[in-house]
Amino acid sequence: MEDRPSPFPSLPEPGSAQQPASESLDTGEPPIVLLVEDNETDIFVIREILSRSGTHFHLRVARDGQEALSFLQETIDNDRPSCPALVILDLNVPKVGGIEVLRRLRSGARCNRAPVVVVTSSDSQSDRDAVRNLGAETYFRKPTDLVAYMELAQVIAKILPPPRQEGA
Amino acid sequence: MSVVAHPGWTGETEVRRLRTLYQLLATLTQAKNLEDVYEAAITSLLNATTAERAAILIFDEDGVVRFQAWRGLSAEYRQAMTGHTPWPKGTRDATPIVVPDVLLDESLMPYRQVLSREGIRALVFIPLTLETGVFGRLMLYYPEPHECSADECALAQAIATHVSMATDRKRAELACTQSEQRLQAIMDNSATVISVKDLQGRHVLVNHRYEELFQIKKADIIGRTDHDVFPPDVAERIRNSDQRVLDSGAPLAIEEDLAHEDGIHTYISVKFPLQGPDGRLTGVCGIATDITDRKKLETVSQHLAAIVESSDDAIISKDLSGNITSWNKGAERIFGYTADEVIGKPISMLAVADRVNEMPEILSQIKRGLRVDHYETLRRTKDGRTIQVALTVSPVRDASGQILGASKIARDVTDRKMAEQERASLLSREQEARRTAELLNRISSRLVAELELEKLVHVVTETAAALVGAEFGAFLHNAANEKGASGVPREAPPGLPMPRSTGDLETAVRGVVRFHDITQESRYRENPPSYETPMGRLPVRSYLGVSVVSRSGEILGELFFGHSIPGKFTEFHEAIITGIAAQAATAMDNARLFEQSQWAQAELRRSNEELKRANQDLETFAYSASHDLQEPLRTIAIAAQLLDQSCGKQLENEDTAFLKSILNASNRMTALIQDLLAYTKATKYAEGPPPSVDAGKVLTGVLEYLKGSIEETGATVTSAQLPAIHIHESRLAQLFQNLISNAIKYRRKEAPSVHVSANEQDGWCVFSVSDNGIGIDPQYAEQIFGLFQRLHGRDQYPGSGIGLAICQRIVEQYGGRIWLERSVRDGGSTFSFSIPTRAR
Repeated sequence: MEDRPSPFPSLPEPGSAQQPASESLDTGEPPIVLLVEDNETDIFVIREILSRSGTHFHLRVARDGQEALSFLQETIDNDRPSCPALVILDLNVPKVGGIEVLRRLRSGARCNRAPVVVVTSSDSQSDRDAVRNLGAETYFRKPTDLVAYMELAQVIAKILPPPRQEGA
Repeated sequence: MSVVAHPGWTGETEVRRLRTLYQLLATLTQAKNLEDVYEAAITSLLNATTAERAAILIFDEDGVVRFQAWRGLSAEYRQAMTGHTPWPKGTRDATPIVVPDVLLDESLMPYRQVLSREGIRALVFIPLTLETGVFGRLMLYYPEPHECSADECALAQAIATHVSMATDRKRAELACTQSEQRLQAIMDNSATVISVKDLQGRHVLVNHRYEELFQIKKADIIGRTDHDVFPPDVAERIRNSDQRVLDSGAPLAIEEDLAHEDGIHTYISVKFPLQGPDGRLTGVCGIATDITDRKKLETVSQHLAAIVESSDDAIISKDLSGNITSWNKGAERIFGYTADEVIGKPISMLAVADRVNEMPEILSQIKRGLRVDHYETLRRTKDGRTIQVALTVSPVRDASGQILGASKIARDVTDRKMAEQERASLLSREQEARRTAELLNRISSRLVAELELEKLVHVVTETAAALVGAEFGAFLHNAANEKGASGVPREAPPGLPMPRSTGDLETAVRGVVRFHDITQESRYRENPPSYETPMGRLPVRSYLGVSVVSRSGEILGELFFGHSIPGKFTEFHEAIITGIAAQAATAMDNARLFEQSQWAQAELRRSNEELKRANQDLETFAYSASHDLQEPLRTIAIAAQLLDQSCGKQLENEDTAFLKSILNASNRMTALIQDLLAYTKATKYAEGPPPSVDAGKVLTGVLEYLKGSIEETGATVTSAQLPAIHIHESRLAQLFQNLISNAIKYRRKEAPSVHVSANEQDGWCVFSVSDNGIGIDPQYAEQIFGLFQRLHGRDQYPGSGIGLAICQRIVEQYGGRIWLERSVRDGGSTFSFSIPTRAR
């Protein structure tokens, strides 16, 4: 795959002076991004967007709601200090729906303040209302157009810490 | 006792005697009454004789002699001597008795004590005699024995003679006066006018009534003639009639009218001659009776007679034996007999055979003085007809109140009776009709209230059966297994005879069949099994049936009623059940309508539910379109784009076309789904009542939104003044946007020109969007509003063909309408939609 051209159109670089918002900053560990998504195409596109952000992070992908909840539980059980720096949540996921996952996250003892970006193809107002009420940071509707999809990068950049000073 | 002879008169005593007698005569002449005579007798006796006391005794009518006048006698003595007499009354040839000493007279022995107590020693009895004999005596009393002288005795006798004559004369005078007074009293107390005149016409006597009548005092007319007191003509007339009586010597009766204060009075005057004891005429007496009242009475009774005679009523009188005594013209007219034929005949000749007892009963009532009033009965006429009469029979009494007979007034009331009967029957028929109407009304309200057909049928049958007094009732109606029956077992099989119309629709309404006795009907007898009645095996004789026919003429059913007794049903019952059948028909029509409307309502409910479900389905579809449907599509699209980006240039020939095809299709599919979503959104009612929005502002917003395509095509969009209307802003924006973008899209080669206008009328605001585009074939004027309707190839004009459908959905939500107002091929078109100016 190395020789393949990037499928992504050239994207504007994310803002370089953004302040980190994650509570895991002081650990020295790279921040964890939890992606709850079952669509491989979307996983591919989002991973690509994240990788291009220049931010160093661990990407954990949960392919259904149950898996996402298990990961969060693990975090608590293992007394792992680092909650996900970002949760990218698709609403239409198997086993446990995205909204339910968000609700449990928010009502849990730990990591309940983790920033959540909902990325979904749903345009339903009820979904939008539910997501807002549960305190998700952003509601990003998955576009049909790839170029439009790239706008997600800017959304993520507002949340994730700026890249390390490797290039500086 | 010894008789004393008359002594010769001497000169001196002669003078005294004569003087005494003259005085006596003078006194007697002047005597007004017998008492004066008696007193004069005593006085002259005491003057003429030596007696100290004297008395006069007279027999009364009973022959008892009583003291009438006396001097010096005690009451005791008078009482003791009353009734004692030496001569009975009427004794003739009585002579004076002289008793010189009562002690020496044997005949006076019984009286000696009385005489001695009174101090009487000598007595003289002198009889008073007239032609009729002794009527009394004079008495002389002496206290000492006394030998009466001849002179004394003669004088006493002379006095007695004078007193006797005077008494006789005075008595005659008194009798005459008494007679005259009696006559006057009789005359004065008579209601008739009486006058007596002498031959010269001078009034001798008039009575009180005469004085009253002629307003003249008796004293003023006695001795005067009529000429002296009356006007000459009246006096002359009276005098003439008087003269006629005197000339003829015979009584005369004449009627005379005299003017009184209260009008003319009529007198019947009887005049007759008066004769003296010698038969010579002495005068004329007139007795006049006022007959004015009697005259009036006569007139009244003549009127009464006329009334009786002219009366239309029979007025008959009868005596207590029941014999006819009078018979008027009315009686003749009513009963046919003339008066001559019936007078004296028994009233029973008018009786009818079975009412002969009536008349004796009436008579006995009359005898008891009771009246029979307005008694209606039957009577027989001369020609044998029986007539109805109203009788009034009253007792007839004479002046003393005794019942003499009866008067009877009979009126022929045969005609009146018939009229009364007719009216009564009319009344009863009218009442019956009213009752029927009331009953029908009552049923009607029950029937109208009953909308359930099955119950209705039951109510009709039950009530109708009760009304006509049927034992059995059945109602067969058209629905095969619905049957209402009253008193009829369910298994009673229906059959004939049915009430049938005679053909056309008009008479079908009145299809009634009624049998006095159905078992006597030929059809029933000839072919019982096939003509079995709806009453089947029931013991039905009276039979009544009627069709229940709807307004439209459809026979809804048949009502049957039966009774085990023949002839139970009449025309009246026919009328009742005809009425009920009509009511039942209406009620059944109503019930059917009700059922239909219920069905329609249920259908509507079902439709609504279906619509609701369809809407829900649509929403569900919209949801799934936005998620499930769109999601894989989006994945395809993204994946295809990724593929195109990564290796699009390495593909060859067809593969490139395939990838392009995937990309195009997924794009178009996306557009379609988005349009569909827009449509379902338009379908959903906007929440809340529509606010008032300024259409002009909305249009400005829309033009701003469409700025890109407007600039790109060089279109000009103009608008007139637009009003404010009640509508949700987003919906109006959608309308403008769809119509204007269509106007721009379907343009010809030149730059599009679009004009938006509005027109308010009759509570509607009609917006119009006109363009100069390609126009639309009018045959598609309806079709273009359909979902996914396209008139052109996609290559020519892009779009999913949903814009106008969305517009239609929106305007319909507000109760409005959208239509193609104008369209010319290649000459542009105008779309109009209407929105009510006031919110609904």
